[in-house]
Amino acid sequence: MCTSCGCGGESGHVLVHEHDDDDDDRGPRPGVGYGWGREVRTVHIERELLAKNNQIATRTRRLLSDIDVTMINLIGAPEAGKTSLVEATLRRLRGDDVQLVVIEGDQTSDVDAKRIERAGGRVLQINTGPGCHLDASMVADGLSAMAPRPRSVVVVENVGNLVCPALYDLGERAKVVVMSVTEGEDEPLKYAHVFRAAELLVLSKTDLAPHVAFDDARCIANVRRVNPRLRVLPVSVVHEDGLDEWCDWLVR
Amino acid sequence: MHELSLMDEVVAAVTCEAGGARVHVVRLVVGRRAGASPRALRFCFDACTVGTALEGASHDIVETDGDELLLEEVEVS
Repeated sequence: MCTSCGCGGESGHVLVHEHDDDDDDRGPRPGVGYGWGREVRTVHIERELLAKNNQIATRTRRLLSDIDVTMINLIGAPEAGKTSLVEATLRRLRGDDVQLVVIEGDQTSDVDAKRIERAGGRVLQINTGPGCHLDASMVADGLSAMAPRPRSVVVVENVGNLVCPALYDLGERAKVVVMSVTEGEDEPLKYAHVFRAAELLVLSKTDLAPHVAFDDARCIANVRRVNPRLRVLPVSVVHEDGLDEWCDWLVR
Repeated sequence: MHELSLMDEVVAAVTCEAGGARVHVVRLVVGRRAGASPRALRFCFDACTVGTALEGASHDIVETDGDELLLEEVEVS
């Protein structure tokens, strides 16, 4: 028998509600009694909370795949070196047959888009205002505006943030985390979600490693604890180390 | 603060499902590996529901060990 209203659990009562086996764990049923004189009913929804975002992302992924376009979602803390990596990529791929399209996400300003433009890239700046991440609809609109050619590569540089972007599928082939050595070896442990969601970790600013006593082995061990499959690629834009491997991975 | 966008999505979905009925309880399932904080979701609930069909409703967040992020059910009248 139901402990809330004393009914036998059959339908047709004034109060209709669920009788799950684990009801007792949930304490009092707040809904019951609210609708004095009105029927309170439970509507099962079971809807994934990011459903709308994920639908748009799935559609984007299909559209990009149809024209053989690869899209990468670059995620990292502010000042991790994401824009510098994109600039170096543009320089590296200059003269190659690959067209690179860049979508820049920042809360405010078009500083990064101007940098990419100066480096010779086709770029669109998205300002998220109070938003802390790009979502699938922003990127889908951006792609419509940029109309990437078949077989091109789209690099989306997400808003500098290691938390929220991990949750939002944009329709990318892979999420890439950019983490600079100056951020410390423990970062994978502290922001585990994004390191779990990523396929590749670009360990940037390796030229600064000696100055900040960066411990490679400890960093890698921390990465492995969080995501044993995450590939790690050390890169120095200043010394041009690791850029060939990065570009090979990007346009593979 | 992606919990604010998530709660906006909850409000939109519940408003649609409720179809004009009064909403009393909104029940969510949030996995520990889902990347959303139940505490922040609770914090956002009141702010996001003001002036909507959910205003004054209570919420119940069931935490699991998985990676679910679900609007499970609502109680309406």
